[in-house]
Amino acid sequence: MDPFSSLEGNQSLKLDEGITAQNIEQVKQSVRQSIAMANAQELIRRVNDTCFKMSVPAPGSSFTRAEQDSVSRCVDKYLASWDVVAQTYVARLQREGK
Amino acid sequence: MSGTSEALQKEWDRFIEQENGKGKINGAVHDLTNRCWDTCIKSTSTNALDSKEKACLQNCVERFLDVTTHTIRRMQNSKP
Repeated sequence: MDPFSSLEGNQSLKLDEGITAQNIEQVKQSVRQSIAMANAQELIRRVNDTCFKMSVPAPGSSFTRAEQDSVSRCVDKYLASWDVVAQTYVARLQREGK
Repeated sequence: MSGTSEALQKEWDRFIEQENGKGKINGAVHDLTNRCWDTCIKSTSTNALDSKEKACLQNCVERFLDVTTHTIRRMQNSKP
């Protein structure tokens, strides 16, 4: 599920007459925080799925030290991969003038 | 006062547009990372990307976007 799809509905949100610039700033901050949280949750979900598959291919009766270390390395590697993909993607968008 | 609230409305609309844009980018990066991880990363014997893996990820992103553009063009051309 796209965690940002809930914003689409807000595009036609009409502000009340009494709204001040300060109100807007507060709401903006609040929206930014919600988005950051949703993004972090999505990242956790994907790292978890990926690293479970990669590091615990044969679930045993305990979470072994070797598996724990593998998960740790996997998390680091996945976050590094996310950064590389993000950089490459944004650079591409800029090149294509979007 | 209505002049001010019109400006605020514009500011709000612009903010929503920006956040939507950022959100779409984030969504795309999540999908691409998933996809390209499967293609490029075969083991986690170390916790860092080596140069081959990094190049593979970059190529994967670029080629996937090439395929996307190509697919759309082809499908538009073959519309009945």
